[in-house]
Amino acid sequence: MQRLQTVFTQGIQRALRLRLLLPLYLTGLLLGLVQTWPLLYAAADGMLNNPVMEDLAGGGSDALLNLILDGSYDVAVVVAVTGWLLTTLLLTLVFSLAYNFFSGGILSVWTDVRSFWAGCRRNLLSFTGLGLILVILAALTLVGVALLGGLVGGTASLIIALLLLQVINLVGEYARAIGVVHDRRNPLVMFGMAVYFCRRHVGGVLALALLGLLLHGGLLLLYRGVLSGVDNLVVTIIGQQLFVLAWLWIKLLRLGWATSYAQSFISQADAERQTPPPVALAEEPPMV
Amino acid sequence: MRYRSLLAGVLLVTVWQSNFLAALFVPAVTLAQPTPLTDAPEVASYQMEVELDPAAKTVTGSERITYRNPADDTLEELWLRLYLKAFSSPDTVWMQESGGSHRGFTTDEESLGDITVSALALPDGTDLLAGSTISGTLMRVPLPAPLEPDATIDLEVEWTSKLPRVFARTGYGGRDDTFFMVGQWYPKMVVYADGAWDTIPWHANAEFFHDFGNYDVQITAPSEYVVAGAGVPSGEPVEQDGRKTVRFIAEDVTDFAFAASPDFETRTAQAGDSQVVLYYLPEHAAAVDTYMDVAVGSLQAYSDWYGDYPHPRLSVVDVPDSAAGAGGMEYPTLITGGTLGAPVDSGFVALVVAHEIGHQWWPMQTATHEGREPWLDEGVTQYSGSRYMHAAGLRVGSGVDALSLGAFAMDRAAYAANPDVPSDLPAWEYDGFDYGVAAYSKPSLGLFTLEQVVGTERFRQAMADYLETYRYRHPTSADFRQSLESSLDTDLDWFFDDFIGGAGVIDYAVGEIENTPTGSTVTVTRTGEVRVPVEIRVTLASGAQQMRTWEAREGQTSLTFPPGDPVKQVKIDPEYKLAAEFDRMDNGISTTVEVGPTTTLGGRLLFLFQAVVQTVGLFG
Repeated sequence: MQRLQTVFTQGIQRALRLRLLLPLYLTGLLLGLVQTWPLLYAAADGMLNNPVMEDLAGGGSDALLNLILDGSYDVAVVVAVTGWLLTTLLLTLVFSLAYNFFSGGILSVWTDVRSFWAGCRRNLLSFTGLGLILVILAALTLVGVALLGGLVGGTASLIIALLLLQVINLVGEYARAIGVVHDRRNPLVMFGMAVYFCRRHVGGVLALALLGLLLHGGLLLLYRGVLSGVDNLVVTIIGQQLFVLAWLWIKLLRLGWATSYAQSFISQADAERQTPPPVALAEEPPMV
Repeated sequence: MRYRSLLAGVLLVTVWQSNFLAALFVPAVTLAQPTPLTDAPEVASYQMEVELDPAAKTVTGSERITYRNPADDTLEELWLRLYLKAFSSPDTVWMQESGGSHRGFTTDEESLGDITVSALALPDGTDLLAGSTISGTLMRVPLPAPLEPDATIDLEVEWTSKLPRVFARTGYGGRDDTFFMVGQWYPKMVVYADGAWDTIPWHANAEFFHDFGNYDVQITAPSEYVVAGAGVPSGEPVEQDGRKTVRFIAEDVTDFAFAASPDFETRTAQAGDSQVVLYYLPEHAAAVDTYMDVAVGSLQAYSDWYGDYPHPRLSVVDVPDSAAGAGGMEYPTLITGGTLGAPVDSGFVALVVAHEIGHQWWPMQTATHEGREPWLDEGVTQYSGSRYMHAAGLRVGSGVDALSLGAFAMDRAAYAANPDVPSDLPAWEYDGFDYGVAAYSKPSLGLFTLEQVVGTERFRQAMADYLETYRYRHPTSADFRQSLESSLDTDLDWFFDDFIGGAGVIDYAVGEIENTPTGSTVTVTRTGEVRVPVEIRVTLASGAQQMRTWEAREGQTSLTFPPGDPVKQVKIDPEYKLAAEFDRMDNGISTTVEVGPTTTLGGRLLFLFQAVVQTVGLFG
């Protein structure tokens, strides 16, 4: 319990180094601004002079359907919507790469192993490999659950899918932490060590994971309860960006806990292995 | 004196001529509207004693059909419907047209259905079976003596219904195949109207058409079974030798159906003067509150809008997911729901229940021909259900607004996929998807458009007038049109001719704003074929707004404004009254960029993207 308390506190302290959050947030923001390109498309089509835009901007899913999906098969609309979806998919991959890159640096700085940028470069390939493993596992999970759906029903299979994805996500977080803490670069080894660690310390891992989920859930409820009813444009945009930052921060907090927890079990031998031996000084010749 | 006489004579002739001419030009509707009926004509009534055999999957029974000739013609023969024959082999018209599937559920060729009439006679024992012939789902019964107009004949029938594994409304399924939905299951009188028997074969897309009458049905089933019958239970169940007999009475109805399961549990509630009874399965207990809230709410809403629900009881039957083909169906005083495994807050149960209860008005009180004019019951009901969902704030998809749709938005999505089908064709002239749009979504949107164009109160009064006039009759689209036009005192050619009867769409587009020193002009074009009146809001530079209504008889109109206050913005149908308008994105124009909406839209795109990448991209 004391170990957990230490891990809890240390994780928060690490996550409070907010400057480390900025590169990832700014990457998402930049990519997001690029993804507002449909407005340029609309501008070229004269749509920005259309008061119907107000209904589209202020409406919900019904407005979107009523205004966009009108069956006129307007090629421009189809191209814009399809294009946006495809570029979102592509840019999600880019963002994932950015996450693999920057998380290496963040974890390295937290563990005092190396500098931020050195950590980013060192761990990029291994974290990307890890990401691929996780994606494959997630896909297999979804297929398996879809097949199971016929037996247990739609709701149950949805819950099972979400739980399993959370478990994979959790193992991935520990794999990153262990990769940096134990200086492992083989993604399969990282994943295997993470599975072993999570199984061995399942109570602590789940407790921290649950805390993280609760924080994410609480943030969602806060958004629905407070922000969704705001009319003011500026307040809405600022609120949304604060939500994005908070969501990202909680993710880093989870990584911080994972790193601290992994680090807390590091063996003395590992500690000695990681501490470089003192450099032997050359013997001074005897005074003649 | 002569002049006065002459003048009087001229006046008399003038008055006479005026009356004569007025009589000629008075709308035909005021001459043709029938007198409202307070009770249903008892044309075909049934007294039945039947037994459900769950092991054999059969219902065996005997009935006395009391049939009164409703026509002015003398009848030499009668016709009976044997609907279950449609499922007796893959070669029937129904199975050929459907390909053995219905609404996504497929037949089990090992468990087909059938109905066999073993006896058909008059009460005095005169056999009618030997001379009868069966063709498809129809049985022709020559009469030994003609049946005069308004005369009554009793038929004694014995039969066995073999129920299929449920895929198209009727049959068995569920846990250990112990759930039974028994619909279209007994030998049933065919309608005689307009000088002919309705001997159209039962087509896959078509539903039903029957006369009004009373039902007195005694159902025997194993004691552990709970029987959910239409109508009202009469007397106490009688138990004997492990079997239980329950009796149901249904008056002024066109059909009778029942369900049975040993797993049913019940919940009751009051909706005005009527009782709502839900028969639900334990696995769907979480949906009970939704079932009841929507059943009571919609029953009361439709009673307010159209006229009272005329029966003391309504049964709502929940169906197992594995027998979902029995769900989403209407019978007089009984509907089937089902969850299809969807989460309780998905809105699916609400959507189905609200729709099926709408059918208690259309056609259960108006008895339209569901095969010849499917839109007249399905379309009006779809509108009713969507309208109720809209009024109650109920959505479909998930508990989150952004991930759900309103019922009319769903209608619009379906309609948008196939907008060029007319809605006034018989059911059998559509393929599967066209039928859904033509009979359901398109009329639903059209009626919502009509409601918003004429005003909700006037529209509901018009619908109430139609129901009052044609309740317990067999109205057609022409009657519906006459009634609405009379009640609304307006020509509805845009609705009936252009929209329902045509393949055209409602669509308008705004042209450029021309501001000159001599004044401003805006052109609005009707790009669709439907000539529905449309509102156009014009905002001037001073901020003043004008709302103009264009009747849209012509293809284009120009709105002109005097100089001094140029036009800043034009918006066609600003309140979205034209629910079925095809393309709304060309409905507006402004002389300036809409900065606020553009920024809002940009912010939403940004946030949406960030939400997606942070959910997916931060995995692991």
